[in-house]
Amino acid sequence: MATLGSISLQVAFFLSIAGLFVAVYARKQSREDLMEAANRIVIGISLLITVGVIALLRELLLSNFQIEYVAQYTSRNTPWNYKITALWAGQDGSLLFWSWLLSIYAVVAVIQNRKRNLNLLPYAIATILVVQLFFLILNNFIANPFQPVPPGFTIPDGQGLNPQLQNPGMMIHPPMLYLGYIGFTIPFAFAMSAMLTGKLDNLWITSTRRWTLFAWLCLSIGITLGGKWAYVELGWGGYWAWDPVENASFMPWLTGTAFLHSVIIQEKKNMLRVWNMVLIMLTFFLSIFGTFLTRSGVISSVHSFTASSIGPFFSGFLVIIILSSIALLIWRMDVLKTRNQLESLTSRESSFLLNNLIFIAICFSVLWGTMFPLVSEAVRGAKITVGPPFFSQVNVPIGLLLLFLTGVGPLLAWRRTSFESFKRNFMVPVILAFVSAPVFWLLGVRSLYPFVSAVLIIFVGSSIIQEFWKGMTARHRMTGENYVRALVNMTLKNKSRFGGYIVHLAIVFYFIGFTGSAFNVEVEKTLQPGEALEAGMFSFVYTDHQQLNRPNHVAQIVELEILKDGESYGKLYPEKRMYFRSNQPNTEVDILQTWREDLYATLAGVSGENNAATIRIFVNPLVQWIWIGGAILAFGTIIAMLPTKPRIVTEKSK
Amino acid sequence: MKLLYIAPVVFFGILLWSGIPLHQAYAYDTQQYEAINSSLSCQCGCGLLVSVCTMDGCMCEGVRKQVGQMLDEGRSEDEVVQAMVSIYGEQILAAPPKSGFNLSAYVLPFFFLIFGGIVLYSVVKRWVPVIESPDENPENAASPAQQDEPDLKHKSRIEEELKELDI
Repeated sequence: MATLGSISLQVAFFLSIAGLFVAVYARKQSREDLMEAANRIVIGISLLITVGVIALLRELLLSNFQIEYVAQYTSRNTPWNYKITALWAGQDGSLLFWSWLLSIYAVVAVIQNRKRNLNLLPYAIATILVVQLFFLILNNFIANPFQPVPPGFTIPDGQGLNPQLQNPGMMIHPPMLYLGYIGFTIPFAFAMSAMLTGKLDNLWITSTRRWTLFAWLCLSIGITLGGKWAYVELGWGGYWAWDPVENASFMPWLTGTAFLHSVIIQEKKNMLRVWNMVLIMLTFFLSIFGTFLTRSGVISSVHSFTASSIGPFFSGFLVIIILSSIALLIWRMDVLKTRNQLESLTSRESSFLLNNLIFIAICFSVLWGTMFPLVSEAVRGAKITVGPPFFSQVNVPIGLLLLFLTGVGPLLAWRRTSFESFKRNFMVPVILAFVSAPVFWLLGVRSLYPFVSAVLIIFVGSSIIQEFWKGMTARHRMTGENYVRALVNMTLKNKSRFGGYIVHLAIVFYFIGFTGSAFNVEVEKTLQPGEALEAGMFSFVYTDHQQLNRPNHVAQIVELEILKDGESYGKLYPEKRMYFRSNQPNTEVDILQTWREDLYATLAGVSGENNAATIRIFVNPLVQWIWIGGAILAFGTIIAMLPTKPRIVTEKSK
Repeated sequence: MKLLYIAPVVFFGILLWSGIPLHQAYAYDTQQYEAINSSLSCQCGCGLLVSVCTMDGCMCEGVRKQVGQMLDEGRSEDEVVQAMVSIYGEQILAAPPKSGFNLSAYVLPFFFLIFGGIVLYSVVKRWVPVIESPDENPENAASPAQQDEPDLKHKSRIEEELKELDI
């Protein structure tokens, strides 16, 4: 089966080259038959890569340790579900997985556009196939997952999957991130096609609107799940460490979000055509750049388990696509330029432009901070670290500005906001924000940023709720529907708008969680059985210890009884595991989660005859709000993605 | 709309009733120790702060002990941090010091934002046609009653249609 997989990838490689030429030639000659052939080649490539993926999955599940990749990332006692996740646990498998997802995207794009978008499709396919070809080169010649172990060499059992990757979150987090990264290839391909064909109207944007939303949704979920994984698995009590690889996923998210906002202006006013091209190009480059950072090891990261020497291939590919995209942009600049006109500075359009600036500024600061160690080493010759304190200092104030705009934007009218409408829309949120300020002060929120954040949360939250409230009551008055039905129908009638507002509400939830982190408490202590550790308003009593032998590891488990005001509040069971095959220790945290705070315990180790346990406790307020925010964000984006009924033109409206 | 005015009272009432005493609950007496460890970066490659790194066999355990010992000796926060830099090099600092070339790390993002803001303002200003707004010149301002009705109807219809459009 491995041979079949290997051959199918080789055929897919040659087919990609053929497909690329056929698609370009079909467009040049305006030959529909050749175009149909290119479409079929895309489907064929996808089928071939699917065979490759199935072949690798089979080898992983059957523990064929004669394949290097299988021996490296699984062992006989690796649970079957983690054998599947081993597909993307290592570099070779994850690159194949990337290739496969891209090929599926390509098939969907072909099926979606083969009838209605004949002008753009050929060059869009050609662009996708260029990206596909690059990954197939890696799959076949640089990082072949079917590489056998050296002849005459027999491996009785594999090394097993990194214990930190043996977490349910890792079954979803990487695929979601990949779906996000790769998803941006489709709007990028249509943008390139629009430039190549000169069809620079809004067609490429309307054709790829849902693709962009879907990619953005997947990236958002991927990032949130990555945070959740880090939180429950790495044992340091946090969900975001400004690690270079985390930053690499955050950057395309930022530019992608800016793009989602600015295309609305193009759709409505045919403005910002050059800017939108730049944004989608930037988003795609940053997606590839993210993979480059993950793989190259140029910057040390907690994700170093996938570092390798394929960095130069990625940087070469990046240079090629950046230069060719910029050349195309310059070539089409005259056609892309439109007469831009705004009616007022205080309009929704202006606020979108400002939010674009802030998104790009945050993206720049993240990129600058991530690359600064290299810059500093080149300039000063001294190695330095750029960690969370730097990113917090720089990004928190800019992020708060963005939060403010999240509230202001929806309150401004398109074209021009009159003073009356300004007063009408802003009064309630502003009053609420002013009322909340002394309350938060009394509650003890007195540091600058948490205080500003808390007040802005009230402002933005109330501005969004106000929008729903106004729409719902107006509909209730007009149609007589009850409030719930009016709310649902109003949302479904204008899915993009209200879906977007739901996403804004999700961002408020995220900020509630981020603000809570300003009040985190962390205590570490070595306890004898019966002793207690105090953290915040809680006591953690070490009540019991046991050692358990499980199929692939041995676990030390301690029982901690939580007391609040002297009364029992719950129990925690943090573990320290030692995995047999890899001989790697791993910390399994235990968390008691409520909407107010997480009580988070890790076990550093158990030692001595008395089983003295070194325990670290974190009291993290409001973390749950982040995960709830993630679910709301997904819900809002799905609402915005739902198809809209075509508008029926009545006699009257004519 | 009344509900919108009652809502803040209810919301803050619930907040106060729920008793989230953030300021007292999370006060912590080893803040100095935590602050120092939070300003130092682990060098094992994990990228975490010394205060939170739990990697097995990592240098952080030793660093935390050293920080604790130095504080016990009565050294100030700055002295402890300087001592750590002299032992492990500048890279142990989790953020570059705000001096010399490193200052550019902090300044450049804000410079980017301000410069971008100026560029954006000047571009948008050019896009807005020079029409004297009634809001800006009270002499030219017409009261809503003075505006002719068909124009208002026309404007409100445009507003409605814009609202209907997908955004």
